[in-house]
Amino acid sequence: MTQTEKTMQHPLGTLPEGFVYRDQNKRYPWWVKSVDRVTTEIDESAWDRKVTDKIQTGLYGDREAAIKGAEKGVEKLTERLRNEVPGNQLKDIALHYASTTFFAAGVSMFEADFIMHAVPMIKAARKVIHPPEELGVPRWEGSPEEASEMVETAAIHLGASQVGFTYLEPRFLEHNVSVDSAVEKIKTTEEGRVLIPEHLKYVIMVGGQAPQEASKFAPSQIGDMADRSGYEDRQMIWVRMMNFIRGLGYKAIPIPGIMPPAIPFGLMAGMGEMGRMNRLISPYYGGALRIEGILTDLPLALDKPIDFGLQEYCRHCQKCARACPAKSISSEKDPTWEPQSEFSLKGKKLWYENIDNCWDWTARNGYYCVACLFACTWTKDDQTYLHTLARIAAAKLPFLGKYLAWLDDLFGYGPVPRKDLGDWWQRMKPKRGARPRRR
Amino acid sequence: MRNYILGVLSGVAGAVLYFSAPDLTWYYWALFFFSCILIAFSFDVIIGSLREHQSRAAWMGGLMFGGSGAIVQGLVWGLGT
Repeated sequence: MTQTEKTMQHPLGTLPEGFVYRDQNKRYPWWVKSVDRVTTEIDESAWDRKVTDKIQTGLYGDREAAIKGAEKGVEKLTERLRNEVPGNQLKDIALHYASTTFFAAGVSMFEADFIMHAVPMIKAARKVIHPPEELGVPRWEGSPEEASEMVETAAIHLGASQVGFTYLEPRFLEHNVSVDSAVEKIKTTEEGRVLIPEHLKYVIMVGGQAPQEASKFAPSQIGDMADRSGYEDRQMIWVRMMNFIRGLGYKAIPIPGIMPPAIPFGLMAGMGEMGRMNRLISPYYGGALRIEGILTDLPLALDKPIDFGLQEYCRHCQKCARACPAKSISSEKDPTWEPQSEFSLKGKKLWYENIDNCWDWTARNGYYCVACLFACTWTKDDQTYLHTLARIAAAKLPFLGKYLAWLDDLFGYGPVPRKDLGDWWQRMKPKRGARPRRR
Repeated sequence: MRNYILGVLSGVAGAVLYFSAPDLTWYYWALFFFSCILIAFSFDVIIGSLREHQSRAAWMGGLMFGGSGAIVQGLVWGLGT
């Protein structure tokens, strides 16, 4: 195979000129390898970037139908509430919505309008920061390596559980978003096209952690609360980090788009690998990491993608597929190029999920299920070295995935039994429900 | 603290074993150290799992690692001394 053919098969393996990698040796333990290409196979020629428009149409296009669907969910929710079903009582629902106070600020969960109104929050938060020009000093200067180290330290302090750096790959952007060397500031044209200035070429990926203890209660209001808490956490870190970068005298904006592509940038920045459930799986937090990207002109040393054996492990484990009540996750042994839904982006070799079934389940039940993310054998608390041993075994002997999943079941990991859904309130919990990983 | 106590207990057990059977062959010592690691690991699993509210993992880990550690200790003390 020639180099050109290789590059065509894996277009993301080529680092454009002008970027440097930072030292990857201290980033992860020895069982997580840094690699040059993301571990998911990609065929860029098959990409249809208009898929996000379809998602928009599917969720919001037929507003009447969407509202009707959500009404069904609200009916079911109130029925459970009246019948005092464990995990679905008033205190559970109140906590669920309270945990998403900032993430979903300005949006009612009953309006079938799930677009999160982050922009007013970001604009309001911007006033907190006084950039160097206001203080009469020059902006921060340093090498890309120093910048990456400083930004990572700041992000961890501001709440991030994982941090990664990559470059703005224009091929990941939505079809109506592009990089334009002629603009100085981000600009939306009359046709609705978003133009990103060329100098905003660095991407900071930050990850917030969903609380482990509550996550075991999925699917339920408490389980969804865990998921939403992860997003809330991510949102706060994301906005704080944009302020930090502005405070240094550089620009920082969210990745534009209807559904800004976080996962591909997360894969490039080595935050995790793509798992069977079509989500990014972190070697530390499994499916409990919620990631978001920031575009900046602060020169950073980048991170490499990682490989911890997940592509082989997911072939055998399949615990997420068994946990999915909507039968949305593929049980096929090998990934394919064929999506199961018109809402999935083609051109990736994946275990494509049937996203229609997943959304239908959500609408009918009045909350997000997220059982897959938390049933994943990589989604673990970190209080015993048993998990470290299991992670090493999974990464180094991934073909034993079936047996490791069996052991995971034998040890009682995964969703708590339905009859115990009310127990969460009695359990001792760490601050915000999430214990940081022992480093 | 947990690791410190386990280390002290292993050291005490090792000293008792040495004075009970000063001529113990090397493979009994290897088995002794291995079983100490298994028992220490079982404590880590039990305490950590209870902290995680995973009671089944706690007793399963205790049984699997602590149980096999105890059997190996029994072999060392029964056959070696």
